[in-house]
Amino acid sequence: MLVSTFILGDFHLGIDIILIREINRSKVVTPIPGAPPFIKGMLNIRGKIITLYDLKQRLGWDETDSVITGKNGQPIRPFNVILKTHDEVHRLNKASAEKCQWEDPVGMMVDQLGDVLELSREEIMPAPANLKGISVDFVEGVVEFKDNLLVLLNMASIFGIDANDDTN
Amino acid sequence: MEDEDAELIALFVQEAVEHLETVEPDLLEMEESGEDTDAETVNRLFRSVHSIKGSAGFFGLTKISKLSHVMENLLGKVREKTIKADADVTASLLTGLDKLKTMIDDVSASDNVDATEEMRVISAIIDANDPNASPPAEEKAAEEPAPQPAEADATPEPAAVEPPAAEEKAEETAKAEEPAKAVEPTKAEEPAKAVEPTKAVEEAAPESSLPVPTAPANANKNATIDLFLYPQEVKMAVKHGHRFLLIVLDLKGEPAAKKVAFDQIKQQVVTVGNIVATEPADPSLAASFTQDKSSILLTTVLEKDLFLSLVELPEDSVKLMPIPESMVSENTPGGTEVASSVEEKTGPRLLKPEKIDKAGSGKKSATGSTKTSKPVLEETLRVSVTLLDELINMAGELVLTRNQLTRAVDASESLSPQVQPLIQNLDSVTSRMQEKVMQARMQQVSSVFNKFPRIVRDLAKKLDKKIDLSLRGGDVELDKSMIEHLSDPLTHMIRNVADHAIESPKDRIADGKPESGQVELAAYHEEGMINIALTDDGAGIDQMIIMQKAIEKGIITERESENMGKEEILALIFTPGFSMAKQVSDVSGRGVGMDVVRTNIEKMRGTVHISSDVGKGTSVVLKLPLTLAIIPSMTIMVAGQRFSIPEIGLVEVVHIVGSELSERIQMVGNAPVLRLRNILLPLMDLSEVLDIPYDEEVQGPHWISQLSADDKKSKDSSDEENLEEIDEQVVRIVVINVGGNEFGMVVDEILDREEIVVKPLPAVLKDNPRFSATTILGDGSVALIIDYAGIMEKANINFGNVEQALRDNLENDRSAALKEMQNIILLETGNGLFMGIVNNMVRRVGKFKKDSIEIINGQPYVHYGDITYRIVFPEHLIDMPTDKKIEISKKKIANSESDEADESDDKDLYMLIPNMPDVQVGLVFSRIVDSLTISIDLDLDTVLMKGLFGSSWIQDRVVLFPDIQALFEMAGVPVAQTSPAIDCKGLKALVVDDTPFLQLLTSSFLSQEGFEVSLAGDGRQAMTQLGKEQFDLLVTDINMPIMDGFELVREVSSTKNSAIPVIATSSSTSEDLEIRCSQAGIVGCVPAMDKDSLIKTLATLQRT
Repeated sequence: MLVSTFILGDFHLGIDIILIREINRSKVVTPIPGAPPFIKGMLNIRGKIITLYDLKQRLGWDETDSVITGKNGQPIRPFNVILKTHDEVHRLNKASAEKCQWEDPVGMMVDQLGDVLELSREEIMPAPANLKGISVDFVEGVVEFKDNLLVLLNMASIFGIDANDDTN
Repeated sequence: MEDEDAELIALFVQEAVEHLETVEPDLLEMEESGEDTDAETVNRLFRSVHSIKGSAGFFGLTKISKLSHVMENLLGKVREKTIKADADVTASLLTGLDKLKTMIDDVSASDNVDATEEMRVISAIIDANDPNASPPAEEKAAEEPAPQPAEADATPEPAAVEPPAAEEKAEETAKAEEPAKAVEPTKAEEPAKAVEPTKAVEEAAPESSLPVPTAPANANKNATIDLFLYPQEVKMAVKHGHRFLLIVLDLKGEPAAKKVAFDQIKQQVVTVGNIVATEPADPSLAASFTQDKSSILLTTVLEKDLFLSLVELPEDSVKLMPIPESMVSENTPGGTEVASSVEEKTGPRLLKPEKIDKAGSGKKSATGSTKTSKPVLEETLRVSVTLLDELINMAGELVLTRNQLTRAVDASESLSPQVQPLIQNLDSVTSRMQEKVMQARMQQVSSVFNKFPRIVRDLAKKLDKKIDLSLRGGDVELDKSMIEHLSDPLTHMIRNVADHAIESPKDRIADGKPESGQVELAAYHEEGMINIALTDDGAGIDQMIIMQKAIEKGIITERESENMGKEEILALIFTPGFSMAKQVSDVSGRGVGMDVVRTNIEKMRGTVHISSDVGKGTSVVLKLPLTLAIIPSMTIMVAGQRFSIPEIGLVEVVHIVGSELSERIQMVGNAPVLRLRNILLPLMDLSEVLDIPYDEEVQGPHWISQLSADDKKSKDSSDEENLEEIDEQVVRIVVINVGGNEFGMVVDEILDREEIVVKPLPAVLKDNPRFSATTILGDGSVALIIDYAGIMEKANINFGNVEQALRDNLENDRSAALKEMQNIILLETGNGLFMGIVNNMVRRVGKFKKDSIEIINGQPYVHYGDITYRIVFPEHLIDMPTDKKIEISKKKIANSESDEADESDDKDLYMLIPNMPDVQVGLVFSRIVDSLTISIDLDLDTVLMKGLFGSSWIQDRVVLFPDIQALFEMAGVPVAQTSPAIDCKGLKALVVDDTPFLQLLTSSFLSQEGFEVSLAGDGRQAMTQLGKEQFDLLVTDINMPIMDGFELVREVSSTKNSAIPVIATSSSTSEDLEIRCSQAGIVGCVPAMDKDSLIKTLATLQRT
């Protein structure tokens, strides 16, 4: 399985690469009044309207945690990871479509991009109980990586329909 | 594999649905035209049902296949004209069609649907007419009465040629009795009894043992079935690329056992093919299974191998029958040759005329179809909506990119000169492309309309009414998504029309209307919108009943009802919970009525309009935008964020500068309202409703705070600084109308007008009512589209509150502004008095030289135009020393009577000729001061003397209002007394007018006639007086605030003055107004200030 990795705060996160449509930066985001705080807003990507999630908010991190500064002390511009929709994934791989139940085009913000890793299923372990900072609900599994943990996100629960009432 | 199956089945369903769509109108046409049904229609029916059957068989949908098979059989018989397309036939086919629809709607469960009843009915018809092939002959004979029974029975080939006389006769005669006689061939003994053709056929059928078309095969025991016998089927097969397969069975055992085996095989075969002929010809009788071999000839779309895999038959029993070359080529030109070959080969004579006719009709339909359908048929391609939407998206993106490119190129002129034309080219191609792609989403409304003839037919039958539905404008195109949403509301409306609007045939005839109700469903373009109008000539809707009902149900109050116009009242039927049905019926009237219609239409950004005349009919018009995908909108800014607001529903934009703020915006309770012209609109702040906080930096003095600042200002007007600051601020208000309710929405900025492409809301916003959709603005950023109804709901606007405020306001400080304005002409008399005369009282004003005055018999005259006028100097009659007079005394004006002019003789004077009939008298003034539109506040007390109504303070000076008639009398001018003499001494009159001047004028007219006059300023005051006292006459103004003349008249009936005659006055009369007046029971409607008309009207009262 190919996994695309990102850095969010102190975490290394990974997503099955088949779910990713594209990654971009610095697009005008239109905020949505009345939406939950973890919805950053909407993006126009070639005529498609993408709902952009603020991943840090979604994971329940503090406002203060979510601003990280670059070398020059300025807040770094986040990257937008845009995901494929269920239909798009379904066309490519029916098994992977299980992981991707959202019909709307969605995306999420991450701090930095990492490498693409080749993982075998055996390497993936269940989330340790003492994982701090990310609720187990959002974790599909973890992989040992560079003396650290790479957290594979459960995208279905991050973009889940019940998103509105579960902000932890 | 399952997925693929599912996909294929989905495809089948789609196809079947399309077929069914054509089947229904065709069946209805057949029902109407009966036997005269166009051959092409029958063919189309046959083909459609056939294809459904074919594909259903392929997917193993046996029930569908079986049902469509019997339907096809029946249609086949109709096509062959062996069965007449009478009401039973079409009815059975229609019920079959319904069952088919049910099954196709849920294909997976189709096998569980019980269609036996439908099949039984259809089969019964087939069986009754056609247990074997002989009835066709009879039937044919029945249609063409010429062949004598004996002839038909036994004569050889020559009989096939129809006697010309017979043909003529056949054309002329209705198929009633004569055919019945002719049917008799087998029962020739009692020809008289068989009056009913069908009955005759029924009786005749079982006895008939005439050979079937397969007869030659029968005769030649081992020969295969000859394809030449079936030109029609061959033609169809060639056309559809079907193959002929011959199954030869070697069945063992007793005839009965053979029959069972045969039937089993036949059942299997039926699911995949179309049986053309069998041997024995009549497999329904065990007795016919006498031979060793049986065979089935069928056409099928399947290859032989595939066929074998679906049917359990030994391979060698199935044989492919090649279609003879000659038949393939002959088929196109028509069937005559085929027919003749048939003639040669067929033994049975009776078949001949039939065969010939069949071939002939086949030819007709073939040429007919090629002629009619070919040019119409445009090649089409099935494209998924998703793909189309993606294309639309991309076209939109292309437009954006083009715009950006154009801007970039414009900015850098240094670019190569070749670029500009390229850009222009790109520009035009892009625009055209977007347009075409949008067009691709459009569908004809006929796809919705076409289901209504059937619905109406069923409803009419059920309700025992007769209804003719005509469709117009089916080719008008609408966006696909709207077409889908149109179906429910229209169905609802049509049900309503059938149930409530159209009367029973008996009632209609009694009303002098045609027996069947005429209903028209039409689509047409108007003002950039699509109108869909449903018009009927039924009973119409009585607005009074609606009103009563609405009051009963508490939808409106009695008071509200009084202010409502006809359309407003009729529109009440769209209110939730309003059902007009006297009793709940099966068809409509479940209490969830027309409100569904309005909700659905408004969802599509459309509007619903209704008009109705009792006894004449009702018309409901739906006005819809051309497309949902692109709407005109305005971009607005609130709290630094942009939103789109649809132009539909947007009434106007109001700018209010800070200095007017306190005047225009008021607080009612804690809710702000906008005073817009004469109405008050509830106001709400968009940023507040959307819950967007203002950035600290962006925020200026907000309008509400501004408002309170304004209040402060009024208390402390010396605060100049504050005043200036406020003056700079502009409050922008967008006035919105949602379902008749208007409100104002305060926004920060109004940016742009653009056509936006509507895109669905992201899932996270689905339950947020404040937005209806999203869009991409010209610069590529995303904006949310505001949903007015949702906003209104969120803002929790209480319209009732505002209405109350409106009333209070009107009654108090606003009523003055609402007073009727009068156009007056301001003139100065010779002695410097200012006089005001209302324009309506003036016929003309002319200028003349002072020296043109002639004195005849001691009286001054002026020749003006062709007429000589007696002139009157008002200042001679009203002598009033004023300060002004002294001031301008140097301007001492000539007294022409004494001819003591101290001014030059060529001085201009003005003569005002009053608007009185047959009066040639002019009032002379020295100059025209001004012409004004003002509301006259007549003062009766300050200046009081004969010849004056009173005075008023206008333009900082006193203006006198002369009573011209009185002046003339004072001057001794004989004013022609045209008004009939009436004696009203001692009678009491009530004059109601909100304009004091007119009130007085009218009352002076009346008191001159002897009336004792009481006054009232508006309807409500009048009501109080009418409640207390008995009056003999009521004269009321029509246009008044609070309670207008019409309302007053309605309410009068509840007082003790219910029988009082009412005369209405109005500043402008019209035919329409007069009609309304007479409808309201008002005796007459006279122009205000027209004494003559008033007196004349009074005179008619006295006489009666």
